[in-house]
Amino acid sequence: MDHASETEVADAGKHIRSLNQALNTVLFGQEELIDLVLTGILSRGHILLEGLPGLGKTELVKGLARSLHLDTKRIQFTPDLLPGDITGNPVLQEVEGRREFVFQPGPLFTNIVLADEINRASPKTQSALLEAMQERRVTVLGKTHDLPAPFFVLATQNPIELEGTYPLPEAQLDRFLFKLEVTRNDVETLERIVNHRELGTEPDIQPIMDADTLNGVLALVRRIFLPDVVANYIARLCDATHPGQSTAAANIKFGASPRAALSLAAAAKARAVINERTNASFEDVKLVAPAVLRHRIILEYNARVEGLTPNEVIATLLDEVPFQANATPRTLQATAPAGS
Amino acid sequence: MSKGEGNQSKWQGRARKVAGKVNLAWWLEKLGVPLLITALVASCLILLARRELEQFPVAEAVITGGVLLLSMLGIAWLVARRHFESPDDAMVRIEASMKLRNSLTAARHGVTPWPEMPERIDDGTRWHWPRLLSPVLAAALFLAASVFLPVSAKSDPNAGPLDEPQAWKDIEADIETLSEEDTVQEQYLDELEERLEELRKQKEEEWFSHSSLEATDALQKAHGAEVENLERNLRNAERALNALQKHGPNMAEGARQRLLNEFENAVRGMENGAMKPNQALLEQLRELDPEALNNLNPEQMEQLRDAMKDAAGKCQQCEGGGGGGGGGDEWLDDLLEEGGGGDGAEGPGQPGGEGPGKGGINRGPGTAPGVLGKLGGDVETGDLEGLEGKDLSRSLPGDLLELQDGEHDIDKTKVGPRAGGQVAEEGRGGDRIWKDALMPDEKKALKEFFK
Repeated sequence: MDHASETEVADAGKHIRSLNQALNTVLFGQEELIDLVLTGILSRGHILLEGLPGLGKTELVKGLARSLHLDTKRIQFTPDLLPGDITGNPVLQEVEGRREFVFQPGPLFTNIVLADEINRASPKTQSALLEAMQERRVTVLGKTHDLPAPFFVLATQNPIELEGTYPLPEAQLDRFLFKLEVTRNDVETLERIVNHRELGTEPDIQPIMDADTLNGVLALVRRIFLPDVVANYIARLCDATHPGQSTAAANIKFGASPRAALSLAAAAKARAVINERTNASFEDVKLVAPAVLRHRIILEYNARVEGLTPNEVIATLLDEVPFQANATPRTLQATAPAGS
Repeated sequence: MSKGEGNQSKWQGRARKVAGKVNLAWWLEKLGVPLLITALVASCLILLARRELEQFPVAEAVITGGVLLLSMLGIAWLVARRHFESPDDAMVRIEASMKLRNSLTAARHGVTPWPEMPERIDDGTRWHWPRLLSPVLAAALFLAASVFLPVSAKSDPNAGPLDEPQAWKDIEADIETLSEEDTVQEQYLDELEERLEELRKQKEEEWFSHSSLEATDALQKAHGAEVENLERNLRNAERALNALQKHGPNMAEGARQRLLNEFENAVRGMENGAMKPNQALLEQLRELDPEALNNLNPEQMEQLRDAMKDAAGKCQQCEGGGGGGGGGDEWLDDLLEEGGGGDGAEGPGQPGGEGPGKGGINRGPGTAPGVLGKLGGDVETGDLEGLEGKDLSRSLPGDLLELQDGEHDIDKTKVGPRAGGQVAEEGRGGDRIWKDALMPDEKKALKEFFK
């Protein structure tokens, strides 16, 4: 496979920069979140956004859909939502004088799905969505229907009001490339929001790229050069999440899966394109590692009781695992901590 | 050479240097422990060699040390080799440290052009001097200690003859003195010399062993006892002769006999002792008839006494000889001082004495005062003697020691019988009323009232 050239990357970078600027007009003060959402999109990944209501999660997704000129649908998940309600149902219709079941596509048949409060749906419905996320196709009555490309799910969940919810099982959480935490805005950002936005009106966003352009950028991301040493770093990082493999993993009950390693690699490549580089780097991996790993590692009960969070464990892990695989002899002293 | 190639060459050169540094660090790390262990073992061997060998083999030690060092360097290199880094690995180290976002690796794979080399290159490591130098310094310390610590070789050819025990020298000096002055017979001196030689014949390293020193001590003590014995006998004989000569005619028969016995005992002691006076003196003493001392003219007598005094003096000068000089023979000195006029010498405890003495020129007859211990003062009727309490630990101020008539403090209260054979005191006064007259309720009320 030929690697992406600097020209191609620079060209893609222009589009991404424009996209980034557009999204920053939708959501103020969330530059890092927007960066990571774009990274997730360019990695062809699905994103789970966790945050309190009103922080702009839905606005971000709608802005993204508009700027990408992609079809988007929003599904509000409720406990009585059935799998057929999202995948689509066969409906009995008369076709050419004959009665037959005709498949009516559900809201999943779109480019960007905003799955609001995904943890309120029953596990049955959740699993139907997650299967579609993984396979990018839906099977109804034995017939498989491909979902449109590109296909992204941006799900949200509320960390409070957990009564009557169905928390996503770890195996299903693993399908999300990123779990992003949407944090509250500071005073300056709130002031900007008050000054520049009005309740009930949406910002005017022009399409930055269409589906074809996006598909081209996505293909370019795949051609980004991932050096062996970076792949080795990803592998060591994922391995270190397993109990007994590192000091930080002492608080981890279950570590990251190989899918996490693939996600790290894809996200690192996407970061490289965003930064207009033709190769992924250690720093890219380190930057996306918390978003990729925080929902994939299960902490020990004691660690959770002590108030330890996955973010803290991952930070320790990143400090512990050095970039280069070769150990440093003890007769040499590191001038900077490992993994920096 | 194009600019790209120039950059590539610079980066690769730099990577080679970093790889060399890291590999050297690995080699030194792997060398540390073996160096320490080898230095420790070598130090022990050096100390052992210095202790055991007459001449320390410097050349052999240097060659062996060199071979050991080379072997160790080789083994450490082989062990460290597994960790050695290539220049490509070092390049990763540089780009990780300098946050070059893997541009060097990408350039090496031809994906991106080689970046410009900045002025300062940081590979993210620096020498850990304490860890690096501590094994070397410790090894040097071990070796220096083994070389410079004072250790005496078992047999040093350059060292002079071993100094023999002082007691031997003393005995040797005694032998020489006695032999030169011809004070004692040669036979004893030969025997003593022979026994001393036996001790000397031991190996030098055993001269100061426990058994050797014990034998030396025994020999010295025996020699000392002999010297002391001879000296005492000579002095006794000389003093007996002196007394006989001075007071012979006026002396009481008992005292005279005793002096004669003393003289004979002394001469017999000299004859029987291992150390005998010189043959001439011994013959003279043997032939001398104490009964016929008057037959000797004063010059002959004086000469004999001088010979005996001289011999005794020489014996006293001997190291082995004690300062005895007729200990326990004070009676002879007393006799000489008293002039032998009285018979008081026959007091209790004296040989031949019967009962109290008959008195002498200094005292009257009777038992000598203080024979049974220190004399106390006489206490006669009517005398007053102060008493002194030696143990004041139990006395209190105002304590009075006296005897007086009195009665024991006995409780004479009537005691009445009680049920079950128990006997209880009835009490007196209010106590009796409390016990016998009041009902429990009344007692309770009173208790409450007086509370």
